[in-house]
Amino acid sequence: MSARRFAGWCFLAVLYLFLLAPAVMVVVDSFNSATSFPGPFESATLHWYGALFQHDEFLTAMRVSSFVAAAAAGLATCVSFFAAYALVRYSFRGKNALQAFLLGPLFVPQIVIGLAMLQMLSLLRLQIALSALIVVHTVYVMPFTLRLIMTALARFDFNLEDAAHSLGAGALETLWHVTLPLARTGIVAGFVFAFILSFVNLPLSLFLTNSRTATLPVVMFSYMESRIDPLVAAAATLMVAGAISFTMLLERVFRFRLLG
Amino acid sequence: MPHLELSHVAKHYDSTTVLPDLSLEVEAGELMCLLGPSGCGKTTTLRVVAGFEAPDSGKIRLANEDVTALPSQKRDIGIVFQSYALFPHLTVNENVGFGLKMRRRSRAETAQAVNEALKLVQLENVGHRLPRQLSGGQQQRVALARAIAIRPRLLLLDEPLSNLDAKLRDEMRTEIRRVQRTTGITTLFVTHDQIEALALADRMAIMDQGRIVQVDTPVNIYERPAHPFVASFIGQANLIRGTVSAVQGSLLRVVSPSLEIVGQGNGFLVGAAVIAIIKSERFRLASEKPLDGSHCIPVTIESRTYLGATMQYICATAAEKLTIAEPNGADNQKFEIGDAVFAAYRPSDCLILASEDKT
Repeated sequence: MSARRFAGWCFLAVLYLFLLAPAVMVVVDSFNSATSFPGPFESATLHWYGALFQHDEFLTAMRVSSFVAAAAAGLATCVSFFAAYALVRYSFRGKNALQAFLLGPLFVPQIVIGLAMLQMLSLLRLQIALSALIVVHTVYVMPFTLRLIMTALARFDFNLEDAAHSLGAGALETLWHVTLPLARTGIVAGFVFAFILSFVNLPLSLFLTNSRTATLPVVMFSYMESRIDPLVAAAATLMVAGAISFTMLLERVFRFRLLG
Repeated sequence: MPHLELSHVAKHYDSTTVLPDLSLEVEAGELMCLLGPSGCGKTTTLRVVAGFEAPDSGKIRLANEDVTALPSQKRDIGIVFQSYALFPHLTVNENVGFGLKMRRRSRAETAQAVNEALKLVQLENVGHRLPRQLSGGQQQRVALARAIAIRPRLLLLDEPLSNLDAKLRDEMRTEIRRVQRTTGITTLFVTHDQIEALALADRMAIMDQGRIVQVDTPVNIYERPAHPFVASFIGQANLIRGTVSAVQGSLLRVVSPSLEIVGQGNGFLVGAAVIAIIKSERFRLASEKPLDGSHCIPVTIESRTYLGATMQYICATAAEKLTIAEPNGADNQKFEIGDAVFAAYRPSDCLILASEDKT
């Protein structure tokens, strides 16, 4: 190994240490019996995990977050597939404008999107509801799903659809047997990213939740405002573990690589 | 009654007219080649027949049925694409069986049809492989098997050999002809390669600028072009413009600014503007006038190019240039640049057509 290469590896190692050390600290703290967070390590315990599963607010928030993330990711993936299909397959007037519009949420601060949605709801005299939260999360994750599915479709040979038609396949059969399987990697990757982005999102949810529809990050945030103990570290550790195992499961099921 | 009949088909894209008015008839069991330069509209014609594009006007009849409004999936047309368009995520068996699956055939029936089709293209024992694990020639065979497995009413081939190297191309050409003969499926073969078309076709249709210029057998297309475009497009022909100066039966004398030519043509009067067509390989170069009744044109050798089987000479007269191909042989005389020689041809090898100045 040359000196340059060695220096490069060292740089990467330090960089990742810097990025991941706080996360590791959180994981370690979640097993700490001390009652302050972050605090010096006293002894190992699973107490905070037990407490977490007794804590109604956290349990409800986990259910809400899972539901919102699944709904937003599912919705965004569906809409993105058809939008990406049109953007990749056809040329039409206003195509660039449409693409910019759909990727737009990426460039607007989330706080602003959340606040705007809140204002719109009050303007329309609507209650804050789960549906509004799902819509906002969908809008926020759309740019990611759209880009990933567009990349997958850019490699797709649209002659295959002609071939399927000529062999007797209708539009839906062609979609099901040819287009979707071949765009699968992008679709699943888009869904996974969207799910995780929605699950961990705080700024959007802050404005649009009440006590019954609070998502996990919102509950964690408000919990930390009043009390500081390793319970939130346990919740955070579960989120990280959940995200990694969810991704690994999908990789296994759909046989492709997302994690390295 | 023709098996496939296109009548007055027109197709425009935005402001571009691709097919102004196209009519074509293909008889049952026939292999028809659609030949033309790139951009002549032959691919559009194929896509219209396939049902991928709807014509703006005109009718398409297939086996006595008007299919103009019928979507592609209901036309029962097998297509071999230039890129093969094999489904990359499906095995060879699944690719070939795709059409039967869409037709809700039983598993046993599908398996049997797949086996028969693969046997016909002489491709067995690769059924469980994916397309990317096959060679180009094998992929071509799978594409052909997939198209014929549905027992189509018509087989369309879109430049199927253009992605193969020269040797494999000859082999697959023979293969396609054999499969077509065996199955008797009426076939429309689109190509820009005239050798392919001459070798494969029962009849060929020559296309230019969205129109069909001539439909005939390969021999007649080559020997008796009906139109100057066909004459110049097929083979390597010399086109000499001139005026008829004498008529004796079907023999004509044509004078151009620097030449006097004798050839065959019908229905011309003295003074008619004509084009004389002589294929480059029908000339013989000789240092002295041959005495066998050939017509002779005195020329000067301007350049020569060695092409393996032939030597191509560019010969100059006072105002024209002739391209002449002489076979290379140990005994054949080679001429040097600057030699003054005679270009001899038999008047029956010179075809006189009416000049079409409007084109």
